[in-house]
Amino acid sequence: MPRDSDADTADAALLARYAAGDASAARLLAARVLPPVLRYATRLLGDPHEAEDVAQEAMLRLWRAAPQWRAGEAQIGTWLYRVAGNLCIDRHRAGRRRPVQALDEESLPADAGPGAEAGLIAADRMAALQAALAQLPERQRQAVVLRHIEGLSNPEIAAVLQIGVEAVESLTARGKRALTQALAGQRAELGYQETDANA
Amino acid sequence: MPETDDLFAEMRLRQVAVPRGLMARVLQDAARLQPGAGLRVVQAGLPAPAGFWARFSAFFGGAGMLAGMATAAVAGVYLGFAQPGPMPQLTDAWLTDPPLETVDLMPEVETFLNEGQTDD
Repeated sequence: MPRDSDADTADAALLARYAAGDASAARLLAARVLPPVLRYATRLLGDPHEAEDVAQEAMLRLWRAAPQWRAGEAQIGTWLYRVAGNLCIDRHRAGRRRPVQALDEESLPADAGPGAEAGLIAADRMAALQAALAQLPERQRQAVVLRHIEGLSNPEIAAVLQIGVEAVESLTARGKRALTQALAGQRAELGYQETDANA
Repeated sequence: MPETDDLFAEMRLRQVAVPRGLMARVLQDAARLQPGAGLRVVQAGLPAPAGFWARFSAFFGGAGMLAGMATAAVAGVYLGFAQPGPMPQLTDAWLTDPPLETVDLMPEVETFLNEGQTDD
């Protein structure tokens, strides 16, 4: 979710109020920034429980940084994406991740009513995409998720990953190409017809 | 492969709800780490004023007012028992007819000032 400058200004103002002792500011700020952080960590890790831990830790670091936060030098949304991304890399390297299938198996419909088959196909597609994302190198996965799922611009991604815009373009292009190759062999399993590809 | 973009779009539309437990833990962390939080906890933990003396002093407007009233009462009792020596002369100065023109309220001062002086 791209965040405009007004949103960043509002976030910074809320963090300043929190640092000044305003107890309600934490609730307002968490309601704004926690959902994208949790969503990002979920897409990177493929495990909602691990993602919750990462999101909580990222927010914890934000609360700790609040007294020294200098508005204008860093955007809170960008900073949180970076912290959450690094925490995900740490967990990935530590081998603390659970199977990625856990994400969409939990969201399957309990009954087999109308549309259940379509729901199962959609869940299979999401699980396949999540599994393919998990096969990407860390930086490619972060760039692809930020660009194609979170909807950030290339300069915003460059700020999160602390690299140049050209490097972002390269990461997202290579990542998307690798995903396409990984998913190409599953077209029939994921319910895609030949006519879909020719459309 | 056009399906890749479709899959991205589908994942983008899928909401990731924030569990209540996670939000509660995040807000607990925020409260624990908020600057000045320890001071507020100590203030909140102070016992409320209670007991006879607390209520008694509150009735007279606080401990300061009560102390002032007690001091005034002690001073009044003292003046009642230990009347200054020249007071009768002072009252006579107003009550006698014709009134006295001068009253020496501090005779000892003159003695003190003249002490040590010689007549020559």
